[in-house]
Formats: sequence, structure tokens, C-alpha cells
Amino acid sequence: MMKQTICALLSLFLFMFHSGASAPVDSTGILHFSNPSWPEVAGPLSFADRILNNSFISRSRGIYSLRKKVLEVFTPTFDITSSQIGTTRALNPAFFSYALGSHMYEDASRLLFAEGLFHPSDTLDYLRGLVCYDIHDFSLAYEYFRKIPSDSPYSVLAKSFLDVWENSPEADYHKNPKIAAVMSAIIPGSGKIYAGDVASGLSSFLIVGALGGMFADSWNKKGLDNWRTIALGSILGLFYTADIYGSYLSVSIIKDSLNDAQKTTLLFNLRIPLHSF
Amino acid sequence: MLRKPHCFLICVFLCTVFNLRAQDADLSAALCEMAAWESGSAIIGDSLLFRKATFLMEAGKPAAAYSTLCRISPFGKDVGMRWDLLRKKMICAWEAGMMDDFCAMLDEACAEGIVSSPAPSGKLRRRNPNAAMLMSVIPGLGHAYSGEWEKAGRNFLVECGILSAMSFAFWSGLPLTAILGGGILLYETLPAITADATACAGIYNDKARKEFFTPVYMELSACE
Repeated sequence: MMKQTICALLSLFLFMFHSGASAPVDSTGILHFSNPSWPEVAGPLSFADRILNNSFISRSRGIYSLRKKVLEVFTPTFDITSSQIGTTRALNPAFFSYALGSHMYEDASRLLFAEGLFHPSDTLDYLRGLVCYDIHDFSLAYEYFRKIPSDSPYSVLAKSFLDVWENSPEADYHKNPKIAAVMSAIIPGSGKIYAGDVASGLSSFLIVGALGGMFADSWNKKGLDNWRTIALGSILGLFYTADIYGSYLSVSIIKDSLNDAQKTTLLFNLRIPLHSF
Repeated sequence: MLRKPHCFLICVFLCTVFNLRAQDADLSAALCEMAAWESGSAIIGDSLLFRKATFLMEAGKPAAAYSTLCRISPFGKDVGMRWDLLRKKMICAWEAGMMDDFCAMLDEACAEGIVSSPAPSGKLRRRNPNAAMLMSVIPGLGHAYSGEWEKAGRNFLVECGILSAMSFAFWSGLPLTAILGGGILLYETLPAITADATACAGIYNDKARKEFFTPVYMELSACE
């Protein structure tokens, strides 16, 4: 029966998980930052860790809610679509200054991205980049600001965005994921608290602790061979391992979120300069 | 004779045409905005904004159409144009679900004679969100109060399952397991069910208010 218990626990560890890639780079070398480069994993360990991080205590304060808020900043307000139009007109930057200042982003994007409406020019590329910036489609904004040549009157403004996008400094956060994992192995949840996610650490401690109490109670009263003890032991093993794994992961998630929050602040500080064209 | 692949291709064609049309309506609306700005004239600008709102309604964006119409000033306009403007605003507000704005314009519409009466006959059904929250002490009852029968049944079954598991654990001689396990599950599920029941009551009130004013909306649309 003991062997069966160990086999049951080991079978849970055999589920493979994969870590996601960093931000993809296409063949032209453009860095697509449509989502922050946070590791994505699958499998029961990830599922169990998400339960620990989404409990009532940590739902609005844990790292996954922080991650969701940062993802919202980097998610475009709407998808830009282009359409065909036969008649060409002169591009009037003053109208787009008014439109973007009045938050008419949909109208501005419809006009700027209509094929054939305006002649290609630096002004058009700059305005396209600007409307992409305003709707938080930063990767598309990067593509358009890159196109502006250095002798263009818009080059200085475009360069301010490109400098922030390509070279923003890293946040001052130096935690070791292995230490977080070892701490969680000793005291469940302590690794997450060490990483900086107090709400999730507390939630993990309570849930894993309660499961441990249930397992001990069942072992004490029913013995190790009882199906209840085996089931509770399996669930405890899953959540205990998920907590260790989640603590290891939380260090990189928090570091990435701090870097992205720093980049967000620098990007938003560009709003007034970029609009002064 | 039409066969299934033919029907499928016709549907794809129709969807493409309508999608393109929606895109054209969006672009037409944007062109109207640019023309209104370039005209420099309040009268021409207002009529272009009115056209923009019409295009936005065609594109299925009543909220954007409503905010465009709100930029048009009724002062200095003749009676017919004021009526058209008010009627269009009310239709856009109703379709966008902005019932507070719709009801605020209703008295003015009645005074102008656009609608026959300020409120339809009958009683407006309402649900109290606080009552839904208190009723959720019995899982599912709060949702049933708001008419969400599927959610009510599901939540009731989930909570019954948890309580059954707790009872089974007690009966098996594992009180600590019952208290800890049941406690965690109830703590995780009950507050979420209560919050959802409160939100459902709010959604019910919005839907009921919209249905209540449907006769007024039909009267307004008939004049279009």
C-alpha cells in the first residue's frame, strides 16, 4: 500500500510543463512586445499554483492580479484595421492633433490607416506611430517610429520613444528563485513572501497547512493504507509541490512585472512630448 | 437547389459584405468628423456630426453615436431639427443601454410632443441587490431572486456537495478534516456566490428598465 501511495504521488510529478519563450522576434528583427515576456506554464502544478494564488485572500492582491493589471496596460484598446479608399487627400496634422487630444482614437486610426487616403510621408508614419502609442499598441508604434529617418523633423520625438522602448533600465530587485523554492519547501508560502507576494504566500500557507492537518488527522485515525489518507496525501503533495514551483516562478514574474511597470512609467511620461508636434 | 456548401458560401459572402459595410461606415464616420473640423462652420459641422452619428449607428456603435450627438447644440435650430436630434439621441441611448440618459431625456421628449406619455403603463420590476446578497445565505436563492436559474442550480449543487462531503467526513470520524476542508471550500465559494448574486440583481434591473421602456423606443423608432 505504501508503494501504491508513492506511485500515486510520483505520477503527479511526471506531468510535463513547458516554460514559455521570451518576447518573439520576427525575421525583420522587430521586437514584438504585445505581451510581457512572462513564463507560461501548463499542467496540474500550474493549475494548483493558480488556485493558491487566486484564493479569496490573494485574488486582488497577489502577483497574478498584478500581472493582469500590467497586461492591461500593454493590451491595445482596440485592434487597428485598415480599409481601402480611392480618393487621396492632403494630410492635415492639425486635425489629428485635435482628434488625438480629444481622445477620438478610433476616428484617427481609421483615417490614418486607410490605404490610399494620404500620401506616404514621415508625417503619416509619425501620426500612425502616435495613434498606436495612444491606444497602447506599443509594438506597432515601435514599427512606425523606426521608419522615420534621422533628417526628419519628427526624428527627435520618435527617438525619445525608441530610446525608452529599447533601453529602459532594469528594476532594482535581486531575489534568488532557488532560495524562494527552498524556503517554500521548509515553510509553505514563505518563499512567495520572500519574493514579495505576501498575499499569495499567506494564502498558500493556509491552504497547504490545512491540507497537511487533514492528512495528519486521517493518517492518525485511519492509517496510511486508507483511501482517504492516500487521496488527501496526493492532494497535499500536489499543492505542496505547486507551492514550491510557484515560489520559484514568482521571483521571475515579480521581476518582470517591476521592469514592465518601470517601462510603463517611462512610456507614459512621453505622452506630452510626443503630442507636441 | 441549394445545398449545404452553397448555403455556407452564401453566408460567408454575406458576412464579408456586411463586415466590409461596417468598415465603410466606420471610415465614413471618421471622414465626417474630419470634414466637420475642416468646415469651420458650426451649422455645417453640426449637420456633418449628425451624419457621423448615422454612420456610427450603421456600424453598430450606438454609444459612440450618442456621444457624437451630444456634441451638437440644439440652440438656434428649428423645431424639426431639435426633434430629430432628441429622437436620435434617445434611440442611441436606448440601444446603448444608457437608461439613465434615456429617462433624463424622456420628460423633455414628452414636453416637446415626440412621445405620447412619459412612462408606459404597468409597474417596473426591480430587484434589491442587498436582498439578493442576504438571500445568498441559502446558496442559489439570491440568483433565483434575480431570475438566473442556471446559476442558482449550479451554486446550490456545489454547496450541497461541499456540505455532503463535510458530513461524510464527520461520519467517518474525521472532524478536523471536515472542518478544515469544508471551511476552506466554503470560504472560497460563498463570498464569490454572494458577490455574483448582487451583480446579477443589478443586471436584472438594467434589463427590466430597458424592457419597460420598449414601447417608448418603438414609438421613437416608428418616426425614423
